[in-house]
Amino acid sequence: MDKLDKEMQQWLAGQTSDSQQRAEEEARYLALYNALAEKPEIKIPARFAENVLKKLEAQENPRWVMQMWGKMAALFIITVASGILLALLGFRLMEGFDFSLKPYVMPTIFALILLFIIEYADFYWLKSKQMFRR
Amino acid sequence: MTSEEELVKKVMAGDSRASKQLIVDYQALVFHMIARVIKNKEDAEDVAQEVFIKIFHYLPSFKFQSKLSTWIASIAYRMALNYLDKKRLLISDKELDQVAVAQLEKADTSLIKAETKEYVQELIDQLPAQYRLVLMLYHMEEFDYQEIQEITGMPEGTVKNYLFRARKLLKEKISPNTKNTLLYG
Repeated sequence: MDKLDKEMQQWLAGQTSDSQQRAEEEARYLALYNALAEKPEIKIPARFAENVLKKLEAQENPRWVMQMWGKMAALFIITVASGILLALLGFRLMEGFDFSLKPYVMPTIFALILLFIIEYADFYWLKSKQMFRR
Repeated sequence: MTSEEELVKKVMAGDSRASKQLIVDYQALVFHMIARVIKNKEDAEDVAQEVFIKIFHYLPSFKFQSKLSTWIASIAYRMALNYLDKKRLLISDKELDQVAVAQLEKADTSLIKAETKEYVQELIDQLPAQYRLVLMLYHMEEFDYQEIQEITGMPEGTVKNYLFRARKLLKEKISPNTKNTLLYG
């Protein structure tokens, strides 16, 4: 309140000597002061502290960078392999279906399932490192 | 040893509970500052996280020459203004008043009758970031001029000048009709 009194006196110094106008000025100043003193409600995101600590841990621990590169390399190899297999399958299908396709079908399905599992696991792993927003 | 010193010492010793405590103790201050400047919630959260990461990174260099809250607020202040600068939203000091007057005209006047306090908050939100932050630090967070000088790096005269100009602009926008609700509402 001392802060308010001192500042209000400073503010009112030099203002009009008209008592009504002066009272209005005073009320307006108080109104502003009261409104300024009121903190607007700010919602802090849930688990904010935990998320900061996780991010900090991830940044301080370079091992996860190596893990990421390893996973990226594995993903690249599997993506290329399944792409080649799918292309081969496609070309053979264009020539018409026959039983000679059989050797390509199972490896392609395996590669795609493997790709899906790795992508899925990778997403959760990166999410746990706070690499994605919620 | 003060509780602040004890907390910092524990954090530097690698105590994860103390680290969490430091975040919990100061997250409101950081969020109030960041959210005043950055309206996008996700960006505000990202910047607030970066503020704490910087705090932990530079904590060993903190020598208790000021209060911990002042030091943390100075990091939040700089990061908030850096964000605006990157987004090309930072207004130069010369244009502050001119922009403030134009922005205050855009305030949602429908709030005047409904929620006067909200109207004042709306007016504050229309002010340039530099005015907004100084007002917030002085009135809401109750830092004194000396502390605001440390936080913002501005001379005390500039801090006082910003406060004076910002309050003058706001006061002029408060009509006599709104004052009673603000005072007694």
